[in-house]
Amino acid sequence: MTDKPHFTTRRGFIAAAGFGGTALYGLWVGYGAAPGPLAVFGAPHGETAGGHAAPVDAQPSKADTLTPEAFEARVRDFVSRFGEADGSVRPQAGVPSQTAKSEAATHGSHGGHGAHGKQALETHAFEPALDAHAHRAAAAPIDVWLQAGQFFFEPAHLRLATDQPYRFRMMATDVSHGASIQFGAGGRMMRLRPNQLVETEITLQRPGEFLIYCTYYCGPAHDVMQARLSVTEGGAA
Amino acid sequence: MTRPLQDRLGRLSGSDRLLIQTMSGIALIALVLGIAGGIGVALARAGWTDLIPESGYRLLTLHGVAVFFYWLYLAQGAILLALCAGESGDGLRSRGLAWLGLALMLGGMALSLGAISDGTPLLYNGTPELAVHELGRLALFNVGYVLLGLGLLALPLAGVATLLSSVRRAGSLSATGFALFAWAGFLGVTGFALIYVFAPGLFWALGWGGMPANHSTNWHIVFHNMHYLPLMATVIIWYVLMQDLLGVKSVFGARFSKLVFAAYLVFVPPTSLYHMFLEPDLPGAVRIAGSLLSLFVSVPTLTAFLIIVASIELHARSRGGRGLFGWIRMLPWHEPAMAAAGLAMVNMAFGITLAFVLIQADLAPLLSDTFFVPGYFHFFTVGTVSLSLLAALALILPALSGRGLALPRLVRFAPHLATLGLLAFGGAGVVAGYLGVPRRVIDAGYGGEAPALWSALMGWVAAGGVLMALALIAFALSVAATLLPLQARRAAPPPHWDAVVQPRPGTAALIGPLAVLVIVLGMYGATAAGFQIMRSLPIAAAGGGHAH
Repeated sequence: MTDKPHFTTRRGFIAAAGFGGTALYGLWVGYGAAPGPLAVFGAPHGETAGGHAAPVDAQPSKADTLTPEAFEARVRDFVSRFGEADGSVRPQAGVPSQTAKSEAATHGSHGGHGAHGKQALETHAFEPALDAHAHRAAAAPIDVWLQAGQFFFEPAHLRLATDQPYRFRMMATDVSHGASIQFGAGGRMMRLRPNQLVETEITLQRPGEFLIYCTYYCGPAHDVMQARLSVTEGGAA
Repeated sequence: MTRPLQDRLGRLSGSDRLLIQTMSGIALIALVLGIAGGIGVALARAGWTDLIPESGYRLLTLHGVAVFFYWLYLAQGAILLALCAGESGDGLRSRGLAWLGLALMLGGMALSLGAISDGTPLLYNGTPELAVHELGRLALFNVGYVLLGLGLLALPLAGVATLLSSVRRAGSLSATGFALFAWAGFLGVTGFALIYVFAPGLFWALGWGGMPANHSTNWHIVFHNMHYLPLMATVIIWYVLMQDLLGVKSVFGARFSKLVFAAYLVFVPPTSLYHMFLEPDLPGAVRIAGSLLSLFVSVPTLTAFLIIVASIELHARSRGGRGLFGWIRMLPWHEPAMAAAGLAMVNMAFGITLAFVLIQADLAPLLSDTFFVPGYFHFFTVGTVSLSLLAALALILPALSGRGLALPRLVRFAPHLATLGLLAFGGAGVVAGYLGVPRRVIDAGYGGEAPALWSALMGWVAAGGVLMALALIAFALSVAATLLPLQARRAAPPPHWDAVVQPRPGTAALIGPLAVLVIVLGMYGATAAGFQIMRSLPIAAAGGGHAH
């Protein structure tokens, strides 16, 4: 029998055990989801848990922000260029965008905005041709324009190819929405705030039919706000 | 030996009793109303009742507004005042402020609930952008929350005045008194935050200002404080119950307890960033910093939990308690308050375990806005906080009225049943969240495009939810019966361990640290599951940020 208090009843032990939750940091570092202890000395941050590079946040630039009207014009143009007979949309590389061409021309005629217009033309009007066999993984992303509004996604049915990078350019054009691509056992979601252009580069690795639904309560018909994503090998019909 | 708190409460003036009983009664009405809304939502989500989504969302709004805002804060107000009066032993000071606070909160509840009776359901966060065409209703809704905020500024002042009077008289402040000061302060801060978040929407609705564009950011911050600060109230209640129900005081001394209660000030406010991980314009560095800071969110709660459990375990072992778990059987589980507080501690372990999955920014695209969120936070709001508030009321109201709980022999099992229901609700809900089932929808079938498993999981959620709800209602009604004149009078029993027995030196307190170890292992498992699911998704994605 000892006169000393057991270590489990010492204040220091209790105070230290109260920090038990911080032990989770080790797991985060193991999965590359947090900078390691050596990061302060400049060691590189590993791959993130999602198996991709750390998110790159492009800060908004007022001069370049798209208005909702301009965004909707882009979506209309996107649907008209790539729309199929069944109402689905199958974006492909190398199809010129009328909106981007006309915007580029407009910007080009306004002295100071000329450079931006040229960039837009290069980025959106003539998307780079795709060598489907040799360079698919390294291929330039194809833009996908997706509008979220009460209570719809436009386009409502996308047909995409596996292993092809897509740059999803999304905007909620009325109230806040969200978009989650569901894979049956887990999904990937994005929050969309009104009139903010949100950009995410996505590469799908498995063919299948996937549900896209709105993740953020947007009104009484929020339940029906959904779209379909059909993914095929190499974009086969 | 008698129970000091109950004795003091029993000697309060009729005016003090009326105030605390009125506030408690209204709080219990808010709880039952909110639970009724929750049952409706759970049944509709499972497809067990045929509700149009709009009605379902209205019930969801009722559920959130009544429980999250009015039950939690009216009950906290009543318990704070009762404990301050008990601490003082000389009645409440500035009672008029407390009545004013109650009147404001009651008016707020009437307006908030009245405003959701038709029009677009706004859910409990009252997003202004959804009410662009219903500004009058938004004004009513927001006035309700602003009144609640004003009430939360006024009411705790009565508690503070009572404590100051006690300190002047006694010349010192106990650990409980210190904790009550902090609690009163936090209620005031919450009141101010509510006004800060909802007044701009009110001004906009009245044409006195622009649309509050930053409502969602402000909401996230106030929401964080609103759902973590009641955990402080919870551990204070456990602390008081430990003394009054068991006759056990902290073996670590009052100063250590004061430090831990003060730690809430340090650890809770800066850990709110994780609620915003999905916001598109949140910089990457802030996401990382937010995750790292959030690792500290549980420090004060876990430390207070360890103090309480270790103190009880040492006393139990000194009275002959044996085995790793054997001493737990020595506790007075036949008392409904003990059962509620004990099960609340168990539920808190689940809540903390799961909460830590959500503080990791990389998992936000998988889990935020899914049913994982209600799956985990019901372990806190129902299993931990509400059970603890009910435990406190089960001790306070009989002391005030001299009348016992209704059907105490049956009601003591209500916390067990509620926990059982919660395990089904939360377990199925968390699994559903991992799989991608969204929260805040009434029909998650998506016209047959959703996986069939989603529907089965929602069935488990509904079954667990109904069991949890009915058990909670039974407990609430049993407590409310003490307010009725017909209920039989009953003297409070003495503390369970009514003789002073000092803990034996060298005795170990193992359960608390073991519980923390289990919680950490659970965090590892639940977080790793999230990472593995993320990695298995057939998608590579980068960005999600605000682009040009």
